[in-house]
Amino acid sequence: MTVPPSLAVPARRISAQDIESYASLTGDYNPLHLDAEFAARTRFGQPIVYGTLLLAPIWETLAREFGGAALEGARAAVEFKRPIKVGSLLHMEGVLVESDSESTTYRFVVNDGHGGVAVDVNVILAVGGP
Amino acid sequence: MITFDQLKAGQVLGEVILPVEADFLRAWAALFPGSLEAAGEHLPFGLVAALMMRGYIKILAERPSGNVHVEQGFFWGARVAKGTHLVVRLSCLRKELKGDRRWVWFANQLDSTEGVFHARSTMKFLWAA
Repeated sequence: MTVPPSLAVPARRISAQDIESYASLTGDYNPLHLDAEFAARTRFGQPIVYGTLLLAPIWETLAREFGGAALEGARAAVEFKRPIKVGSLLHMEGVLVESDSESTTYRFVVNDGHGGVAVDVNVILAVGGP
Repeated sequence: MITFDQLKAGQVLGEVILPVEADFLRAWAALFPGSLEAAGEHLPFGLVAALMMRGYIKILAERPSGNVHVEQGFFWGARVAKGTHLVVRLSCLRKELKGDRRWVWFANQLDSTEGVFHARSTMKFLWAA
């Protein structure tokens, strides 16, 4: 398997409509994501994006690059470090951490739009490089 | 409402069978255009993760408002073929009170109704009540 040093994830702006769609898919109507008045009373100040919604483009990128079978047996550790406000333009990138004959590790970072790391994702694929 | 005090480490919270209906697939395709086609005969991994969240939400329907999801782990098993009947099982792994912060960890497993393992997830929340 060829292991690129980095993996680009297409940038995406998460709209309020996206949040409503994801709420209907998961059934999660936590007002922290959907209710501006509720969110304004929290430390976040305004509605924030669902964490697992942010991960979907990362899974898509890995599956596109290596094929869906490469994710079978994969492990991922995800840390939601900072909130991402609804309406933010998301920039994500994966960087190769290491690869040997048995596994390949990428670290993906989702930026919060202000130079900080919002989400940190370490993915270990159970497939090796060359 | 399920409060922090009611949750117990090691507690099995329930299971739910999850139908993957045409409406669900259409809604996913609208959110992530092209992803269903790219996944071929399988479901996209992001959609599977959303299904696992749906299972968690259904099993733990009476949650306090304002819970914050802070960490998640995934272990992916076999890809989910379109048309597979799925079941999610949820348990409470542990909980911890630190100052006024209520931390709760859950384990969420997705299998087919025929017993094929598809995914396991752990989730850490700051519990609101």
